[in-house]
Amino acid sequence: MQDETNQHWRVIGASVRGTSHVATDRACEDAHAYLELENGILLLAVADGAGSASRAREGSQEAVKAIIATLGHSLHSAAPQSEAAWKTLLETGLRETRVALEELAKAEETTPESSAEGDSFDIAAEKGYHPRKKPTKNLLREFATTLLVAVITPEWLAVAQIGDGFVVSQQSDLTIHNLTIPEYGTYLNETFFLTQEDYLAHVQYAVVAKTEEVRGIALLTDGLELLAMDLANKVAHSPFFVPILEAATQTSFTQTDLETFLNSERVCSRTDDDKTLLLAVQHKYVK
Amino acid sequence: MSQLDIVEFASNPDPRCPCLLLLDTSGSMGGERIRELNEGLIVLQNELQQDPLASRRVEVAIVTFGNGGVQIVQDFVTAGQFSAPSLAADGYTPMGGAINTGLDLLRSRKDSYKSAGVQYYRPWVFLITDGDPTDSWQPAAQRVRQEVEGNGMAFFAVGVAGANMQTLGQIAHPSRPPIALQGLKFRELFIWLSQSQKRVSGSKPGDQVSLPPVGWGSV
Repeated sequence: MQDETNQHWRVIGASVRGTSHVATDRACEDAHAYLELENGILLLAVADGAGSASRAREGSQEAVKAIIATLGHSLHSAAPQSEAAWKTLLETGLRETRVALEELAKAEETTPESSAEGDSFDIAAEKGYHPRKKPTKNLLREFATTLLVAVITPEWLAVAQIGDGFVVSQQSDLTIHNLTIPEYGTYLNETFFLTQEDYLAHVQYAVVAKTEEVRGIALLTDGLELLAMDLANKVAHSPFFVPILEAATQTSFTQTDLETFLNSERVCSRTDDDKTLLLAVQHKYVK
Repeated sequence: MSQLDIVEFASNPDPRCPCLLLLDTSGSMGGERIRELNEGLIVLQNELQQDPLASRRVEVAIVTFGNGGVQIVQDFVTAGQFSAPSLAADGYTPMGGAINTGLDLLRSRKDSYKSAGVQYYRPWVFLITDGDPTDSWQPAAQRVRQEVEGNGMAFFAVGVAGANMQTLGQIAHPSRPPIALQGLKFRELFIWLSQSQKRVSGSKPGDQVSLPPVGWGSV
């Protein structure tokens, strides 16, 4: 562990199981990871494994680990200095993360096939009515996951996202700004995954040359969308984020407190899905 | 007292799961058939209303063809507000007109979801008939196929004994061929439909919804 006082950011994150996953004894399929480099660059990632994928938990965990590792490696030496260069870097990171998932799937192909699934109706795969592939023939699909990644340097804020969930930043005047919005297919239970063929066509990028100070940032998965986003206007619900980011500036507020909140009756009566919230605030605001 | 007690949540409407029924009320549906169909609709209402999530999220609409021509018997309404109509059978079988009316209704419903920022699941359309269309059905069939191929809906065609399954096969998309109802198992059909809709209405992004086995018909 690095000495916190030398760091620029205080990061608090939690991924907790939704009540529907508790009821059906399914693991939490959300994951998050972060890393602050010695040069002060902060990397944050969250992922939501697809409910339809049998290895969703491993998919989301591998995705956040791989994107942080690959981008961390590149950013160790030098950070991009143009919007285009940032997009290239993020895209390369996504490609390499996808390769990491392919490796997982490949390793799996040597093990015996899982049993047939019976009568099922695959809403996402029916898009365009391609004949449905047998899951055993496309193991990569079993690791399907969304992925959201954010990088903050003193000069830049760069975000890439595939699928739903979203990212907001908070300026020093405490205002909340959407960097991305959730991307669905036409319908609610269809989104986009890093594991699909055309994943690069579904990446949202937000690259901002920082003219204003970024006080804090938050990444979350879709389990919190109904609570944290005004869906009619497609903007973040500020009364959700302001108090949470404020709490994150207090040393008394810990990961356990965040988990308690995400598991609270108040939250669970609104959403039964897994949910992840990853918060970062500048250390100079920490009290 | 936690610091997070003051966190406020956005108030978003429940996502919706539209379900459109296109029902044959032509003369040939008279007697036992229409009685069983009406019973089936009551079962659908009861089953959906027993599920708190489904009663808030599933929306039902009914367009009939036969008695009184093409009629919008029920515009989209959440299952909690749905009251099963009592249908009577008479007249011809203007199936093409009913499909067009139904798909127009569905389109305008989707538009209102979009303008209100309501999230929604892929609509289901159920066509149930025991006959042969007596109007021009080919343009409607083409529209069905276009909608299905554009992922605009899932379309299920159900033939009661006497239905022209060949025509139904030309209306339905090849990916989901028409289903022949066994006897008059409307009750079983609507229980299946309500169970399926419950599963869809509780599903999450990327979920693969496993439908209950079809115990009421055969492809």
